[in-house]
Amino acid sequence: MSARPEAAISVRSGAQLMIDALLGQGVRHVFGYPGGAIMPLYDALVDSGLEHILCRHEQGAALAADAYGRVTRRAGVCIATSGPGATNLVTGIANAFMDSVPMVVITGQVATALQGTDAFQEVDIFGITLPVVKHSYVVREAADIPAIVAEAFQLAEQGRPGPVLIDFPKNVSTAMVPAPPAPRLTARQAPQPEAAAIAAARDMLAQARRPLLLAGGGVAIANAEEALRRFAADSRIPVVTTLKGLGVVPTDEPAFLGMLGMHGNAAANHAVQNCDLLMVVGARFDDRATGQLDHFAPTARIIHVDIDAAEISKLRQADAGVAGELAPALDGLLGATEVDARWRAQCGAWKQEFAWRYDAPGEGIFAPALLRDLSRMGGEDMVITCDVGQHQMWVAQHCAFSDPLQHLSSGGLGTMGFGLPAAIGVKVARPAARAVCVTGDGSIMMNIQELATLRRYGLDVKIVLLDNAALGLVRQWQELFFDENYSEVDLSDNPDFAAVARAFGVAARTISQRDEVDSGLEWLLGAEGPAMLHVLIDPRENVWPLVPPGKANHQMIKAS
Amino acid sequence: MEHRLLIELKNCEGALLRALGLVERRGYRIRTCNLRADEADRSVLELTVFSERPGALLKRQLERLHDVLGVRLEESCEPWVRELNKPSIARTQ
Repeated sequence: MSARPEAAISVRSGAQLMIDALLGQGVRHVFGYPGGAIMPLYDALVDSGLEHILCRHEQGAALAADAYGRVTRRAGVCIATSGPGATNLVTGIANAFMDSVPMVVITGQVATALQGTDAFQEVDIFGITLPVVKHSYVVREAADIPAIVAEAFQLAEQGRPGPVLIDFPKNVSTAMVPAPPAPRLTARQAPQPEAAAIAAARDMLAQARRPLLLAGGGVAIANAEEALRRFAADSRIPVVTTLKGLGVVPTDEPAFLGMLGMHGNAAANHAVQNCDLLMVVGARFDDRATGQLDHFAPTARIIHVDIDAAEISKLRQADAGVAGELAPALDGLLGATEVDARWRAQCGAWKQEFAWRYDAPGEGIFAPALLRDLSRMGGEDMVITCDVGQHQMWVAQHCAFSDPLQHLSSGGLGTMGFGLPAAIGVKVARPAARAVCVTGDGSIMMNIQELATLRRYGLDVKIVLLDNAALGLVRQWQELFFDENYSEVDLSDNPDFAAVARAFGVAARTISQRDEVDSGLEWLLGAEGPAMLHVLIDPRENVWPLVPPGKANHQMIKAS
Repeated sequence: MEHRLLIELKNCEGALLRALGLVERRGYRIRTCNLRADEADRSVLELTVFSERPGALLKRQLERLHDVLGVRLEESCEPWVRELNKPSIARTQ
């Protein structure tokens, strides 16, 4: 594997031990950006067998590693130097933390003797990231590296996943030590749901007349989609999902009512507000999903199933809390209920009444219809990575998913700039996937430098850039809730994005009329290599429906 | 509402900062704080905190931390010092 003869001898540098440890964990790809304090690790990286993806900003590397972790369900790895390299990772680390994504982050650090002296490119990244990591380490002895790395991967991937940071001082990375023996870690037993909790939940399901299932992103993280689908099919309970839960049941499943929440489907929100039992699986009552919490599901008792006991009753008191692995919990609830046909019929009627419409007037491009068409044309192997804004909500509303890993979105942190690096992470992890980044003119500029990464590695990522020459979602709120006092949302001086893409070596085409959509999408999906479809849309278009701030979900407003 | 907690920590880098930071970030104001390193590899952190949020929620959030070996929550006003002489607190699920 290594071309370096010294790899065979028993004395290794800290940097070599780090590479050995990563390989020992089965790591194949790492995303990063070199610099001063991390140079020994980059020296050891050459010909190591690890494939390094050089992103053009550390945030891009962290977000690519995040997406890599989402689709592989193993920790994505990112690397940066000390100081600004490390601080540039922080948004990506926080993104992974908020969405429970497994990630291992390695940061260079100034030599131990210089720490605490305000040395060049010294920051306390360990301290800076304490609120947004599952755990973190400062490596003090090179001999500790194998054990630290092994434990870091275990922590990142097991239970509720999350990012783990390893801060790596330069003198430790250059220290030569006898190679320590391989660490032996005690396997961590996944928490199993308690029988008493399952029994309590079964009783509640048996008594319910209008039960509803709310599935969140935790279902996919736990790889429990099949168990959830089994339970839904067995119970015939109608299903709604959070943003991150999209795809845990197929969009075309008759019992699926849509995404709930601020920009959710009205059918989903009405079902939540009228159910008498809400069974929440792998979701955490996020405020974008619940609206005004006091009025959320006001007539419902709550069953909350989650691997993280700290989520149960955090925001809404659970009448039955089932903490533990999701799949055995769901299997333990099979046969507990049979849903009243009248309730199913009511949910079906809401679904029909509030079905999306695509008959927008005019000749301009209607983004929801374009995204519906993209979804139809993209097929089952398409993975959509979203940025954050109006386009993100339109994707959630109008694209169909049969697998939650077809839809990667920055849910908890809402990170503009997620989409393009995430598509890179997807394409590196799953080269056969059709990776499509749906972005906006605000978001694309947050990490547009990663177009260079596409070109450098020939990554076949397709980009749909919905350009309304504005920060659309902020503009929409200013229109509706700030008396049309538009403040710093005008982006009409955007660059020519197609020209920018071509300058990076990425093929691009611009469309602005509705009758160009079909040919534009066909061109994009058929293009060889990375390509961008730049889509000009009406800046006045809003995302509907919308639950206004401070309102309950049933008080959503629609287009006037 | 006042909550009293005994938190058994590993003596590893950042454990104290991580625990105290979590307590404050989760909306619990620290009123008293005492740390005793009873053994080479562990310490016991004794906190009195104030919050409208339930103490049981903070206990569960602290138990998620890898550095935390165990948490005991006491809502009563009994003296704390005797607790420090107790053996290790088992991690609870």
